[in-house]
Amino acid sequence: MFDYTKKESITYKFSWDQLGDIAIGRENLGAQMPVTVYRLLEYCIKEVLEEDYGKEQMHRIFQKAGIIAGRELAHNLLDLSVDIHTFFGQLQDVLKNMQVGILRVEKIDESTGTIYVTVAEDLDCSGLPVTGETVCFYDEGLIKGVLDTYTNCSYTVEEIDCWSTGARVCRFRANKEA
Amino acid sequence: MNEKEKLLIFIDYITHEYGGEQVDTDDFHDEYREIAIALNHLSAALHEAMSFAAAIAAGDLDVEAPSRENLLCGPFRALRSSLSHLTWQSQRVAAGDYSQQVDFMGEFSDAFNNMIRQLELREQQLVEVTRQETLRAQEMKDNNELLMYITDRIEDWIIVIDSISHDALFLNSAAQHGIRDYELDLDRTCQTLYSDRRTPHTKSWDISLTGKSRYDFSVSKFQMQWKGTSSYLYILQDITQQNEKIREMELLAYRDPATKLYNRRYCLQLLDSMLQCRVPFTLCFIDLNNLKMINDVYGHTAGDEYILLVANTLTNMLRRDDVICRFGGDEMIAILHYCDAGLARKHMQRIQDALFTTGSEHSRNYSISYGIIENKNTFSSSRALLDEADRRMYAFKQNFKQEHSL
Repeated sequence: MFDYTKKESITYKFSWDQLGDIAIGRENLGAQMPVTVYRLLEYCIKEVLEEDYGKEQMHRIFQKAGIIAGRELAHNLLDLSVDIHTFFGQLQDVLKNMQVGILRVEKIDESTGTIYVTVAEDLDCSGLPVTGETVCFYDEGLIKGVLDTYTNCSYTVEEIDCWSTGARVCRFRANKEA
Repeated sequence: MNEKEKLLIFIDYITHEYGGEQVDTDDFHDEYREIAIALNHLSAALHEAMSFAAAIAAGDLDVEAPSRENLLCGPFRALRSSLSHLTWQSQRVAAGDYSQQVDFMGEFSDAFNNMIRQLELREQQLVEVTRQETLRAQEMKDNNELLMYITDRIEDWIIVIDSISHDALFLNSAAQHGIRDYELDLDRTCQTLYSDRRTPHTKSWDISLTGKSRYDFSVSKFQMQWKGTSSYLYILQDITQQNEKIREMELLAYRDPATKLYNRRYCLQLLDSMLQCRVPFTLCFIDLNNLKMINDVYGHTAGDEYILLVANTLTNMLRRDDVICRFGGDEMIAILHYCDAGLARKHMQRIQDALFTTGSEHSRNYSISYGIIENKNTFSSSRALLDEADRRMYAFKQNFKQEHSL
């Protein structure tokens, strides 16, 4: 007899294998899709979240989702045993290959732990109308998730320039939390 | 000046001097005031953007960026990000990370990426060269250790001498022990080796060194660099014993064992050589009188003593350079250099007198007969010379017998 109680008690928890086998599932269409589709999903959800929970909560939810994505990406696609410069080198390759954006390191201050990176041609925002407000909350979370996982420390990541604020690249500052 | 003219001047100022200053908006009315407010914003934003750009152009990448509301700064922010990233990439390249690639700055990207490839290639070449040199150095070290091992175990002496100071730079074990055992002075040895160069191209010769005795060596010389110093390497083969053996063999071959005088073989070789080279000399053919009688009457021991006495008398009374040979049983030959027949005759007479006065119990029977020939290049062979000398000796003997009623 099917146990409905058990089925209802399952709580969703993301893991990498839940991305599925895309090669089998999209035998003809392949692993790629237009950026438009991604943004359609993202910004429709954004509208719903902002409408239902307010801007601040929407911001928090996107960032939290980014943290999970960054953590899983680091565990599954990155070598965590290398030095920090090499680590960013491979993160750069991964983000470029996945067409998320072109990651560039501006500065790594190993004494304070402060890191400046930019993402050009960002999947989330490049080409958006300039509104004067940053929009890459998911990216903030993703970078935090990657850094937290690599360093075993907690980082605060803030987007300080964004395409939608008029910059041509998204610029992020990561500070190690005390 | 009306409001329109004022605004045009302000626009000209913003255009040519990149703004910064503001106009007093109270000087304007209605729509001109709105334009003045907008132009003031433009002046401030442009001034801010140009200051930001100027700082970046001067290399100040840490300059604080204007507020995000200033959209004029967008491209400059992107430029600052690119330059900051290039700085980081350059630092990584300097640290040996050749995986860095630039893919966002057109022609510069190609040049930068090519530079990285070249650097990586050169480093690989350098690493390879270093690896080979390390291997070679190890091989040389191994070979050097082997060479030193062999050097310390060969019997020949090896001495390395500084070509300028003439100081000894290295002595192998055999040389160290040899110099100590032979009681040679090292500095004098080095000086002798270095100065005894014969000709510049001579690479091998014999020398004698004097310590507690006289030692003979065969020397070979090689020019070399010893630990960066111009040096000569000398290999000394101790031939003292070898020369001793040669002398012993010469003694056996050319000496009479009883008297130690040169023997007949040596005498004939020397005479032939001197005649051939037309060397002037005087030959004395000497015959011991009464030897047969002494042997018969007093025994061969007395006869041997007689022969030895004559040999020693000749050796002692003639000059060191004169050659004395035992030519036969009772015949001896003296070859006198730079001596005419008259002087030779005086020498022979003195020897005759000495024999008479030896004090031996048989001295009354001791005497010699001799034939003297001063070689004036009239003899073509030693045989002819000796025949004539023998004839003159015989004539002398006949006269001597008559005079002494023998």
